[in-house]
Amino acid sequence: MTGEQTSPDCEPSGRHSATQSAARDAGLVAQIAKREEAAFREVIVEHSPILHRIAYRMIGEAQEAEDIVQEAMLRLWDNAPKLSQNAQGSINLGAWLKRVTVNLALDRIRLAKRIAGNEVPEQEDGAPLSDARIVESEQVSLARAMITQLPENQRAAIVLTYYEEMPNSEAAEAMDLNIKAFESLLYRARTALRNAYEAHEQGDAR
Amino acid sequence: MSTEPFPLDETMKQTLDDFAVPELSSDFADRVVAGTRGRASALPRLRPTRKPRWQRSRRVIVGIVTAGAIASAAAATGVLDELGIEVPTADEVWSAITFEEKSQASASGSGPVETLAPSSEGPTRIEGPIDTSEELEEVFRRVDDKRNIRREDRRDRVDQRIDRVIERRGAQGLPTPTPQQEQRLREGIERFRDRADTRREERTQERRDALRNTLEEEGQVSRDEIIRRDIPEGPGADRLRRFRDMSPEERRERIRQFRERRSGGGVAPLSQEPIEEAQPQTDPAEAEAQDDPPFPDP
Repeated sequence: MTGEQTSPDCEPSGRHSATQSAARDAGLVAQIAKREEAAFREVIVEHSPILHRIAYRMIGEAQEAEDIVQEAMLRLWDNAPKLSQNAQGSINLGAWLKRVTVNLALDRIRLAKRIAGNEVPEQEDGAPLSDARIVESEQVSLARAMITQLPENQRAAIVLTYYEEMPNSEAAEAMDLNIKAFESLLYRARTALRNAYEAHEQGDAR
Repeated sequence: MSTEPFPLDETMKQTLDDFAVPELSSDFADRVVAGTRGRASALPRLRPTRKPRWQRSRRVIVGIVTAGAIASAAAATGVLDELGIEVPTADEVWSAITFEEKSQASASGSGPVETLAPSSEGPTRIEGPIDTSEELEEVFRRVDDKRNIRREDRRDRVDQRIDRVIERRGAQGLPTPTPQQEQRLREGIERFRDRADTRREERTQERRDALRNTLEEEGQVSRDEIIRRDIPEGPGADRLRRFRDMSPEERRERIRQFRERRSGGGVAPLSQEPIEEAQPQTDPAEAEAQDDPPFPDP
């Protein structure tokens, strides 16, 4: 996946080293812990786009994805004092937020499954962006369907590594998995995705 | 497992890349910031912060040492089969309380039965069924006497066992506890004993109150009620009931078989033979207290 927004924490544009970035994040968290709204807003503006992309591609629904990102940010607000205390001058805020977002998205998917009794229904929704989605191309619908039909963990693995181009180690951390387990999950996810695509292609060919 | 880059043909890649994401709402940041207003602080941790590693290690070490001490005690009281263990019949238990002549069963060689010295017999004689409160209290008194003797005996044997283990390890050049460690170990055992005694005493008193009520309501207390030992429900309860229903000869045979199996298969795990159950059950106090764990699978 190329061409979309670049994650600020993945690539700090060469201006900051990872250490400097972590120190800066720690400073922001400390300010948020002191309830400084400007610092919180700065974090929202910087990190929300990537979190939203992750959530949207996992959930497939724009409004719900925004809700997830909002909840992740509010958790940062709530936990900032504790995070600041534990940070000791260095924290990877982007990784923390991604982990929270992925977990929230997984929770939503599982909750939807429990309510629906099966996979998240692929149905039209009444959200404000539904109208916009009607005009999506057939290709977009196909991609969305392929991703959202994957089991939730596989979905997350594909979204993080393919769409967000995260290294396996970072994606594993975001999913609270060890690297071996994550690579195994990713392998299964890729296989499932390819099978889905090939099945679609064969269906079209007939 | 493949860790190679995701192999994609162009069409599939194109399909995936078309999964575009809509923009965030323009007022998203404002909404989030507004959401913080009036938001309660995060709840405190449900559990206290973990203690430093050295403190946790200390607790682990104390636990291991205590467990080792208890294991030694278990070994001293029967695990290694160093002591003669005989399970008395009900007749033998009763005769130990009432100083009656031993029954034929006990005389036939079911093992030595401890009885109190005649001097410990109080002024009250126990004849026939227990139908006066004086007789019942006399039974309790004698039970207490026997219990104290038995408890001291057990404690001595455990202490001796610990001494022997330490001596043997020293002779073999193995590490031995320092005096401070040994003191802590013995203090740990003492605390363990105190707790066990307290629990046993509570149960004994409850049972004695019940027996007093029985005497008051029914006019007498039978021998079986005094020496009855309830079997707590749980794994092995049926096995223990069958064991107790056996004749003395059958019980001895089952115990002998058990010991053979144990010696053939090494020392039984401690969990299968707790301290108390390795004790000779001639002690009516323990019979009364009903708190012995079931005898291991005979």
